[in-house]
Order: sequence, then C-alpha cells, then structure tokens
Amino acid sequence: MKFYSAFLLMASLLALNACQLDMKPSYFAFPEEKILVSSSIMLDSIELRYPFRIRIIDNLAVVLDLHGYKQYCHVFSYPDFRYLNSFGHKGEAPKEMLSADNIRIKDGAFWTLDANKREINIYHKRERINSFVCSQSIALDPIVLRPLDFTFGCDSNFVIPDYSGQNRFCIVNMNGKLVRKVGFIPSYDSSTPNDCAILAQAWRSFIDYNPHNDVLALVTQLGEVLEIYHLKDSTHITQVGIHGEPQFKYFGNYAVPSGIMGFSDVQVTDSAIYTVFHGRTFKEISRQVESRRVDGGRFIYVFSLQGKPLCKYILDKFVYGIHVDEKRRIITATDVNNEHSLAVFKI
Amino acid sequence: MKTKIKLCLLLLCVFIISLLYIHFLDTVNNKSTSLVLMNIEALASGEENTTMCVGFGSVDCPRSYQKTLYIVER
Repeated sequence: MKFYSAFLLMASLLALNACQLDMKPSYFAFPEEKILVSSSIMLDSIELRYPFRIRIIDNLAVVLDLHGYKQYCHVFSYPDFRYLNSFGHKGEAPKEMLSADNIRIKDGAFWTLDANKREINIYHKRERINSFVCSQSIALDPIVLRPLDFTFGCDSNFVIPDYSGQNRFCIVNMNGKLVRKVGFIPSYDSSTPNDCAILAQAWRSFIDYNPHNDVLALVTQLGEVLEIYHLKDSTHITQVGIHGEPQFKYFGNYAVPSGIMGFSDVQVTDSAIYTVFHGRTFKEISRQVESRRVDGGRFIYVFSLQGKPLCKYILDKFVYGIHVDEKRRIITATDVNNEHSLAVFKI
Repeated sequence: MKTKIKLCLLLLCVFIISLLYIHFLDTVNNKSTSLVLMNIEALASGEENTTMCVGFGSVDCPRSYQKTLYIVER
C-alpha cells in the first residue's frame, strides 16, 4: 500500500515537472459563436491611411491614424461622423508628435501617447470653434524604457507597459514620474532569453482599464494571451488560447515575430472584456499579393471580467481598433484596408 | 516491514534528486543553446541591419521602431 502511495507521489511530481515546461492553453473554444455583418460609415472629407484606434464620447468621435500623412488624430461628430477637425501634427518641434501610439479621452480632453518622443500630450478644444490645441506635454521618466501603450489607472496615475521587461507594466504619475513597477511577464518558454528586453518586445501588449470594476486587461500582439490585473489588490489571471504564448526568433538584440499576429485592441466595459483577434501567421501575411493585401482581424473575442470565454464574433471584414457601446449594442471598428470608411456591427 | 519502507523512501529520494538534476540540466542546455544562437546571429548580422520591414502595420520594426506589417530576414 505504501509502495503504491510512493509511486503515486512520484507520478504527481513527474506531471508537475512536465507542466512547468510549457504554457498550456486554458481555453479552446467559446460557448457561443455569432456572425456579424457590418454596415459602413463613409468618411468622404478625409483620407485615413491606417486608422488604428477609435474613441467615442458623447457627441464626439476621434480616430487615431497610426501612419497619418500630416496629422495623427481626426475628430468627427457622433453618431453622424461629420468631419470636424484634425490635431497632432507630425514633426519634431515642441507640441508636435513623432509618433502616435494611442489616444484616450478624459476630463473633456484628448490624451495621446508619443512613444518616440516619450511624451503624453493633452489636447483641449478651443471654445466655440472645433479646433484642438496641445495644452500640456508630460515627459515620461527615463526609467520607463520605450512606452508602448497607456491607459488611466486608479489614483490618477497612468498604466504604461514598456520594453524593460523586468515587470509587466509601470505605474506613472501625472508628472510622468515612475511610481512603481508591477507584475511579471508570465512566460513559461524554457528557451526564454536572460535579456528581459527581448522578452518584452515579444510580449508587447495592448491595455485597457475600467475604474468601475478595477479590471486592467492586457492582450498580446503576438500569440494569444489575455491577462487580467486588479490594481487595488494583487489578483492576476492569465488566460492562454490555442495559439499559445508569443513566438519569435532572436535576431541580435531583437525579437522578430515568427508565429501569429494575435490581438490588436482591447476594451474593458462594465460587464465584459472585448478584444480584436487576428490569428493569422506572419508566413500567411507575407505571402499575400500586395494589391490584395489585407490587415486586421476578423474575430472579436469576448471574455468575462474573470477571463472566462463568453462569445466569439466572426466578422465579415477585417478590423483593427474597436469602440464597444454596450447600451446601444453596437461596435464601431476601424478598417485599415479602407481609407474612407469605418465599420459598425450590431451585437 | 520497516526495511521495506526505508528502501521505498530511499528510492523515492533518489528519484526526486535525479528528476531535479535532469530538469536543471535541461534548463542549462536550453539557455546555453539560445545564447550560442544569439551569438551566431549577432556575428552573422555584424553591424548591418539584416532584417527588412515590409509595409505599413503595427508591429515595431527592430532598431527604427517604425510600425510595419511584417519583418523578413535579408
């Protein structure tokens, strides 16, 4: 009998050892799948080169063009999408931007992240006229090694994932100073390099935080990993899909993507986490004929606030960034393959 | 009976130690392999940029951090 107990113990240890070598998928399928058909919103007055993000508040919508020609951000009236104005001039001068990586709306102002300049710029609307001026630039602490995305966390701080890789994200105050670093990159890949910066490149993530439920969601651009943090306590949930953790090749001091293109946007609403998922391999993307090249994801994955898969929306077109309006039950999405339109899906 | 239990415990200890040793060797081998690979790639690439970024996209291009669709080795 005791011999059997010892044998069982040994078998359990063996199983535990095997589990530690690889990150196993924690979900395989969604309990519900729905096909969504889009309707297009034409934006005739302006040409968008790569509409990456969309934010909507009250009667205003703003679209961030990642590869904008002269300006990065374009404002429209909502819901009729009449073009109002643009802001975020490209350039190296003060109050101009070298890059636009994300945009957020808070306290009636637009906040943009310029990763190349390491700045967060605040744009306010001028009274009576529809023009937006940069009222303040917040220079980020040099300890934050290349900011990749940003959102507003609790206690009037920013949450910023960076390329340092020592932790998962940084908490930065409104003066741009680092408050603390939180979490760790949950990689189980035994071939992971000692250089945290390479790992951080491969685990580059998009983030969103909802102060109503204290849920911070991070989704990886490569692979299929969703992480949920509660900023007010130490809760951390990791959910891995069938494509596993980000795959990459070492190239000098850089991580070159080699697996799949994963998530491209995330929004935490009061009841769920909405994500845009691509799921296409870089091999497949590189083999596309240039004239028929498409970019984006045809799936919106919905998770519960605890990370449980709820629903998989299969879209009729490729999208990139989303804005989910749960009250009106619509998702407005950007389409980088079309210079003049946005897509709307009824859910 | 007591001898049998002692023997079982001894076997268990030997097994656990060997398991830990194998796992340790595995980790060391993996780390050194990736380190060797990184060195070879660094030598092969020299000072030149040996990756090429194609198209407009959202993936960070190594070194320049321009946003690209995909990256290929040259």
